[in-house]
Amino acid sequence: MKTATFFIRTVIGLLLISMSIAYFLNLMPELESTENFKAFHVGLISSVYLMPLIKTIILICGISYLLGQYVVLTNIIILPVTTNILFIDFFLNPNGLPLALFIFLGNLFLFYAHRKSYKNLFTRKSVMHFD
Amino acid sequence: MRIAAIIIRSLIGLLLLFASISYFLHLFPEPPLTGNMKIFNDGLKASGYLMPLVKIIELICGLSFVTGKFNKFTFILLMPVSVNIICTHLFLAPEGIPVAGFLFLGNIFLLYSKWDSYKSLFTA
Repeated sequence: MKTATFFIRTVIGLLLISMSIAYFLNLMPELESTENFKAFHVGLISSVYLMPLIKTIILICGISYLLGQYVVLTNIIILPVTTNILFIDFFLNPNGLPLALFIFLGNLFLFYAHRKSYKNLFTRKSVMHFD
Repeated sequence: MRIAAIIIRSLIGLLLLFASISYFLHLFPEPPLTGNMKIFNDGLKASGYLMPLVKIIELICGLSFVTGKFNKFTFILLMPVSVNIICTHLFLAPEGIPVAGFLFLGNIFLLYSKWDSYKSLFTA
């Protein structure tokens, strides 16, 4: 279990880092894509903030996974990103589906590996009252 | 402080319920959009899944906020949505900044009000 966690964490970390570096250095080739995927992509670019925000989050989370620091928090921060990568590839770009599935399921596995740390979120009462 | 948290939670809950229910029931005609906002909106529609997903999350969070159940979980669940709402309005539609700002700052305040429960997330 420990080895599997370490392996998945490192592989996902490297994947995320390479995805963000490829974006920031413009290494990605323009994808030939379907009409909807293109419209979606143009929409994301026209929002100005979204792509840099996502890629910055991916970079930070990748580094965190690689170093093994704050993995519990990183799991939560990266979950919206992995969910959207999965849905985009499922609906618009089936070529990328295996990779997206790996990242998403890996993320869920890391949640499972650290499940004890999330218990507090599902208790009825606060651990300590605020006032 | 406790009272403030309850008031803000209920207001945000009602806002989210309003936003999601009016989307699902098509209560309002779509406002005319221009420029980048229109391209962005068309892109989101082209994805097929994104708007329904966001609105379902808003509905779940709205119900949870209004009833006060599972709050510690839904405060986190709403965070990506409110970050994107505030950023969209900051960059593309400045007229919506007050409401978006209330949602975003309210969400942060609510997270802060349950901070003790989130401390375990900051362990390595």
